[in-house]
Amino acid sequence: MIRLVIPDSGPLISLARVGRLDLIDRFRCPILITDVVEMELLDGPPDAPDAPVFKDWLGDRGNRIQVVETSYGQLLRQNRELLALLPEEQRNAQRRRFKVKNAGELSVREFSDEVRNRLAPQDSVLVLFEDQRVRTMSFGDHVHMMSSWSLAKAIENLGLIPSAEELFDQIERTGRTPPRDPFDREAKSGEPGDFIGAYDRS
Amino acid sequence: MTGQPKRSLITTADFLRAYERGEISRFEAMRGIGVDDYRAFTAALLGSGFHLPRGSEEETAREVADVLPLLRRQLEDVGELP
Repeated sequence: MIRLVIPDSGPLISLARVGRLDLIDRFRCPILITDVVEMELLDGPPDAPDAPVFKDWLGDRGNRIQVVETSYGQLLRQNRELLALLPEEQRNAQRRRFKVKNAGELSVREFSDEVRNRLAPQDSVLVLFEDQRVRTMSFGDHVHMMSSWSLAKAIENLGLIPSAEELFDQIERTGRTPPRDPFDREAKSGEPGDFIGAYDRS
Repeated sequence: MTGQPKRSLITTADFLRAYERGEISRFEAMRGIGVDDYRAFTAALLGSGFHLPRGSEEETAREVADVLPLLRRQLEDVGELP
């Protein structure tokens, strides 16, 4: 079975900013994200443009998007619940005390352990990432890792977008600077996943 | 090294593998993966688990055989070999 794993929120936020989450939807396979990624997508400031988009996107796809719980996600949730118990006038002053330092990165590390140890070796897993720290994390030998830039170039080579450069230029105009960093490391063991075959080219 | 038949190249790994096998030039590989300097290209190549192109053992043996007489002559000229 082919699975798409997105351990950091970067690729989703970047594509959402330019209205191109359809480029992720074209993967005809389950998508795994962590609870911390889900929180980052949904819990921006009230005026954040992304949150309503992701609410719809996550809601519309039912169980095709699977959210994996991590201990850092649980800790973040508990802290938020505790923060919510404080009188409103104290919340902003206390917000920093309730932050979990490096929760995003630590949750990715925990997630990488899960992927390495829990997913069956015969599963074909594609890890799609934007955060360059992810490339040094070990998701296991049966995992294929690809940067969002390399995905954009592949989609360009399939003729589905005019140019990866143009797509990333558009993303940069929204204030994000995703790295234009080619990285495409195939699985060293297990069945090679046909991720391009699982990509809807219509 | 170039000039062998090419298969359809789509992903970064496709381009890097074709370059490693000597099926495409460095320029084609760089364009395919979207980098414009050699350092970034080498980082992408090695980081993605590929290597610089190498000839076959036969090619290497032939090149060594070609260059050995030249090397011997040079060494003779400077008196390092009788």
